[in-house]
Amino acid sequence: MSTSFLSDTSAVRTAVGKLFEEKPPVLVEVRFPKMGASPDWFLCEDAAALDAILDRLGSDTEVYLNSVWDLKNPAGTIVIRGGKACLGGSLAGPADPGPAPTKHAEAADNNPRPTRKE
Amino acid sequence: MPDDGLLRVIVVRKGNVRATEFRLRDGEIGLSMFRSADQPGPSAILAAVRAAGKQGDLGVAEIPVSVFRRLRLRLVRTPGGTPDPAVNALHVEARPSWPRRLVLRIRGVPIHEWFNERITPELAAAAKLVE
Repeated sequence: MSTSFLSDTSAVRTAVGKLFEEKPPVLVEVRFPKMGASPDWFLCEDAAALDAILDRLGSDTEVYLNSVWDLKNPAGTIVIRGGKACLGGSLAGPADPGPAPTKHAEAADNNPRPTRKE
Repeated sequence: MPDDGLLRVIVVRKGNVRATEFRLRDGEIGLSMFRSADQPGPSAILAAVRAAGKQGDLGVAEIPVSVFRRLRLRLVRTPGGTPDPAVNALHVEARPSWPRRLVLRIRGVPIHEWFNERITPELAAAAKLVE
């Protein structure tokens, strides 16, 4: 399985939007790396539901998205690192230019960008 | 490292400790845990993980260090990833030894598959809820 990297937030927003549009529902795995805890799992019918999950996440979490129709052959896993801070706003609505970068957002920018496994 | 215990934040369902709380995911090479300490204690660890976004009815499970020794796992201190620096300082990973990893690599067995099959049930059986 090869991995391609989505280098900007618009790319990951597009990929997430396409996933929900073409192959809902989406299985969401939230990992907590180096936090001594197992992943949380959610089933989302739309991007708004994913937004609600991302709202609560810290900047060091990782979110893995898969269509439930691709679970046996998970080509196209979308990985979001850094919670909503990396996405520049809501997934359900238009891109939010947001305020000037804060220390929190800068820290998120230092993390690897969202990736997509194919 | 004294034989007091290592801590992991788990989701508690009907008061039970489930084996799924001690599984490795693909790409991980060790189980993330925290050393037991008076300060920050289990409550602070649980709060730090909750602050990162972990949901559910959370508890803290403790596993004696002797269990990891018996299973020949190495305890490697690495920085934690929670929002609390004091909690992060207690972070360790329980990893298979280098000889074991070499054998697994030669056999083409992913670390997480070996860990989940051989180690996870032992850890779950030894875990006790402390918080």
